[in-house]
Amino acid sequence: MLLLSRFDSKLLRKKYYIYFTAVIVLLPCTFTAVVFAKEMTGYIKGLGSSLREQPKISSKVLTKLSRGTEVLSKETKGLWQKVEVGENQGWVMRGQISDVPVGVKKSILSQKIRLQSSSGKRVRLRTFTAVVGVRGLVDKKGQKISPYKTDYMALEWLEKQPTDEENSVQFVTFVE
Amino acid sequence: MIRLQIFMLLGFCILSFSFTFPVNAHEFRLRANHIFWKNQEAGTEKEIDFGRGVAAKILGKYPIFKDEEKVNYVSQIGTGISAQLGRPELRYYFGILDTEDINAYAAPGGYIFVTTGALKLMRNEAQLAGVLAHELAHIDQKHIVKQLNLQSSDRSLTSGIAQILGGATLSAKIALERLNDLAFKMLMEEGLSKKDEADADQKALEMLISTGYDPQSYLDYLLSLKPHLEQGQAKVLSKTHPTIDTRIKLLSEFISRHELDLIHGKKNEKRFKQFMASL
Repeated sequence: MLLLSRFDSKLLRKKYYIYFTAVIVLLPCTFTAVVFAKEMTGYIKGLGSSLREQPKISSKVLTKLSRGTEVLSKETKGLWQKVEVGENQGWVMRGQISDVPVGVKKSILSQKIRLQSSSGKRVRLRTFTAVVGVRGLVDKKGQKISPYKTDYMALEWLEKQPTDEENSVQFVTFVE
Repeated sequence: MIRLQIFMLLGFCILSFSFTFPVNAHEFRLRANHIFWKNQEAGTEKEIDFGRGVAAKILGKYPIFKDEEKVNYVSQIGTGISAQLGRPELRYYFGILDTEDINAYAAPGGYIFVTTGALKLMRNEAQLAGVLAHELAHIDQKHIVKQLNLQSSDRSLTSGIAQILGGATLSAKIALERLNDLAFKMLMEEGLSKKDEADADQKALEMLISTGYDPQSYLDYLLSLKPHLEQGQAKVLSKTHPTIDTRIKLLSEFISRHELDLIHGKKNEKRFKQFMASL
């Protein structure tokens, strides 16, 4: 009887050991699952990225993918990434995929003030531009912080030049 | 017996958790990304502010070339590439610097400049696209920010800028101005690391292939720089970049590794000459 109870106790301990091992084995699985899930999802960051049949630039274009499209990455081959989008499977160049969702475009927004320029024309500039660009940033003793010249007026001229992403994408598709 | 049941229950919970986690992981990641982007957006705004300061200093050294037609041409090529392969959260600006020096510069936040000296040396649109793509890669990979080591406590680069330059106080503005000076000095005197330059060259080739331009044209442009490096017209470029031989060697290795020499893309020589005729 005593022998039997000892045997039961050993068996019970063995069972505990099995369950404990199961816990140890399964726990990393949960983390691995997260890692795999992370590696698999990507987002198209370009406007009109081509999903191609083969990992070649000359290969047939299956469809165009819009910016922000979620894709499942399958495998990598050189500069190419095999992805799955809905029912389609194909290849996209790796530079066109982001591993985080595509963000909203940031523009330079700041309070603007009116300022009299040297030519006598009234111009509108960003507050920081006006303070730093025209007067120069000085410390408490009135000493200029930077030895280098700045030209914020020229920068604002550049920032005012019109750009259109879709037209530009069209512009670079041109072949002579 | 109760212990045994508890263990069984625990085992079952973990087992079911491990199977359901990949499904929930997506939702979890979206939430994590939302938090990430909130920080990232603040970081991106600061990166633009930081880059504006550097760009203003570049324009303080070299006058801007105010020919709207030519600037628009360069900008359309650059924007066309960046819209497909750049960072979608940035608006990129492409300017021409009125100097015979042969060079191109990228300031963080999306400011890219190419000199009239460099444009005169170029033979076709693919070469221009290659130079702009090289500069785009510096911005995309945040090479300047990385080299300045502007990391926050969470090791994030952009939120590092936000943390360091986040205040509106005079001391924060002074910190920004000093960092602008360091970045400007890096562009004009010290240069980025050889690894970053090689990385930008390789990314430029990827961008060229992706947009259908001839990758070989970029190598031809690098080779055409050689005599000017010796004469001093590309003095800043020779000081801040690895030698042309090193760049060509690394690019050739990259090309053969990915079998890129088989690709012949467009050059658009006529269109380039038409826009740059009176330069």
